[in-house]
Amino acid sequence: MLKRSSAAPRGSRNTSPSVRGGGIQKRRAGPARVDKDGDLVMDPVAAGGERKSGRGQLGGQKSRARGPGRGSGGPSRGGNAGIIKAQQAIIRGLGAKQANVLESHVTTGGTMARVDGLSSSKAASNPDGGVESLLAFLERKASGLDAKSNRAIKIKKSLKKGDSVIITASPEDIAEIQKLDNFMFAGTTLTIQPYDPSSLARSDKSEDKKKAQVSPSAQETKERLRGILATRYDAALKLLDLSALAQDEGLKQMGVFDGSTTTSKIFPALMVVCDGLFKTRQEKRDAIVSVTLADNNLADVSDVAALAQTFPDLKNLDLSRNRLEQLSSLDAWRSKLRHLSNLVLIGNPIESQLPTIKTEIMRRYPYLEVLNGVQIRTPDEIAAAVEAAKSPIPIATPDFRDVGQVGENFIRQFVVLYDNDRPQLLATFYDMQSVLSISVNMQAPRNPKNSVPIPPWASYTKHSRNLVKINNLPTQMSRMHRGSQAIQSVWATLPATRHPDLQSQPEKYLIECHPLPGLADPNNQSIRGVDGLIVTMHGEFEEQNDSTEQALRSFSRTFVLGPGAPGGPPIRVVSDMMVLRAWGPLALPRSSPIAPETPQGNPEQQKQQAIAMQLVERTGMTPNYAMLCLTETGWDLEQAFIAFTANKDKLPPDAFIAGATR
Amino acid sequence: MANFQDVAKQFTEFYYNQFDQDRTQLAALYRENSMLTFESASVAGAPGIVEKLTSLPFKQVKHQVATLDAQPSVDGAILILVTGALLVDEEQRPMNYSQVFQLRPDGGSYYIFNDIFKLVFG
Repeated sequence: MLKRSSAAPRGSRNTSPSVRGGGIQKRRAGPARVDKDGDLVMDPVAAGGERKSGRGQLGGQKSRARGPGRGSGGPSRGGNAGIIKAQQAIIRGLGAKQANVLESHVTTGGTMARVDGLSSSKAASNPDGGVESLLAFLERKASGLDAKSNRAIKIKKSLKKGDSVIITASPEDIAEIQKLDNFMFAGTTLTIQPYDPSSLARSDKSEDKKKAQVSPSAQETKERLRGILATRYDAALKLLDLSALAQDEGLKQMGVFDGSTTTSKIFPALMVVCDGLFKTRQEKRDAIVSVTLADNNLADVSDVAALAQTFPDLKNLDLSRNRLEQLSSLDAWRSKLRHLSNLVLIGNPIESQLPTIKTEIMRRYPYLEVLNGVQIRTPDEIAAAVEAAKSPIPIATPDFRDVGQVGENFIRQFVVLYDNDRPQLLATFYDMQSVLSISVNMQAPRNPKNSVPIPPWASYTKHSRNLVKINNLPTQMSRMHRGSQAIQSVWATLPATRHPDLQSQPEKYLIECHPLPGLADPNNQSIRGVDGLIVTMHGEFEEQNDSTEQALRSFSRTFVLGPGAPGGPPIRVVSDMMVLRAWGPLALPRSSPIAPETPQGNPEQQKQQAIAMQLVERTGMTPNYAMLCLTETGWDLEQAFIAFTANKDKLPPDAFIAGATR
Repeated sequence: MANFQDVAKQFTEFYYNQFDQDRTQLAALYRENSMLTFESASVAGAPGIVEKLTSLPFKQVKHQVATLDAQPSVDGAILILVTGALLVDEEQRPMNYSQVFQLRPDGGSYYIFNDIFKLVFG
């Protein structure tokens, strides 16, 4: 999209900004810039260049500043008044874009509340479900509470969501209404809680967009937050200073903390406002390189988790002087913020653990160069790692095509049981016909960077069935183990393992799953066999041994799953082949280096699988054919069924699940 | 007929030689019902599979097989798991890969029913 290079004035330049108490800037309406597509243009580069003089290039690609830290405990807030003015102007300029999306759902904590209890009240039988009388009740009662001012409480908006009613009013009014928590209404007790606007924004975007009107107070709140962000933005350093939010006079005046000092409510709202200021990820990258969250009394980062969504490419992050105790305190950002180059944790209890958790931190943040002011990687090392991540063949996210969640359930149980209870694993998924074999790949190339010591292979080599090396037929055969008992006798000799948690560390796995037609039918009902799944899984595990050294290995494992025989497990492992190699991290998918896909597949795939299973049930077709049929009919179940009915006589026998009634 | 281990060894040797010399000639190893999943992109049928393999963004390629394991599967089919290193064009650094084949017998020879290729770095 072309942007005009000459930025039109935003706001009147020659008057000083009008200031409301506490330095909160009120945005003045200026002519909005429109690009040739008619979209409003946000252009931080032009805006910065225009407003500042001699303070470095805002739009420069390289960050001049190292950002927070360098061991000094983080940057200090502020700057001189002139700079602040410029920043305010910048943010105001950004604001001229009038992010429409924002309008619909930006409100901060304090302007919305959720009322529960209506559905169990007598009023629920009213034609409107009782909403009108509930609102009238709340307004009347709340007005009565504020006897001193005798002010009329006004609910501006209401939205019925399931059993709850979400109401919007001015912060003052909401505060009054919240005092009605636990009041009796039409025979029931009402629960009234603050309602988090960001969760509304995320979960009900489309609905919200349609229904919500911009209330003047929402607009006002957004302006205030934008003003506060302006004072906290250092354009020269490309630093957004979100430190000590609880002490922010502007935020305090907005009443967002409700007397407490929690950042949980205000932070997501600030991030939503930030999101609205930038059109693209690139614009965010260009404008904000560093963020400081120092002095926010954070025991973990869950309150500020939204940072990773809003600024996924952040380079420098200062968390100084919070209450972070351990690595898990950062888990809300797990597998996020992967581009961090400088992380400051000074003044947190976690500091004392840094020697032991440094490796894990380096793994979480592959580009991290400086930790607490100490260089942990050289730029050359990082360049080498980046180079390593480049591949002539683009790395793709896993392709997980499950059928009825059979593959997913299997993997979830397998990982846990293999670590904790192998006999139970055998009883759950293996039977007399299951086959296991193991190979050891001792020549797998490794990046020199990952050259952690390789634990001895002895426990595995005596089982290795690498046909490249093993030519003797009896040996080949003796290393293929058929039946639960034989498999148990092997597993009993293998070291105990600890696989990374699948849920919280999906980035450590690459798992794919595909339907596999034509397996032997253990019930002998179908000559053509029945459908199964082929699951390929790449990952790592830690070996439990006597040594104090961490013993990591990488593996690739292939399973063929099929229906079990009568009396055995309903889903069984037909084949289990494992290859072990020296540990190395998995390649990150190039398309989405930030959030590796979890094995569940994306929601779209899940939806399609669900539809496919419905068609399978209605038609008796195999999942493969059902998916084929749905693909051709645009994933419309009814259309697919019609197409099936019209063509079912022409379908080959293997299009149907054996024994299914048609 | 040779045992399945020998079939697996002969097959992988032939497959990778052919792949490295001229992968456009691999069509003969696939059939209409074959499925290739190369770096998570699935293609069905011999013509599509060869088109996919041919379109891969490298000219020179060399597979070095490090491990090969095979298990007998249904109706004479053979399940093969290969891991090894892949050298591409001028790239000096070999890449770990993992590849699963399911071979099915077809009139005295075998064809590739499933082919699942994935790069796994080390």
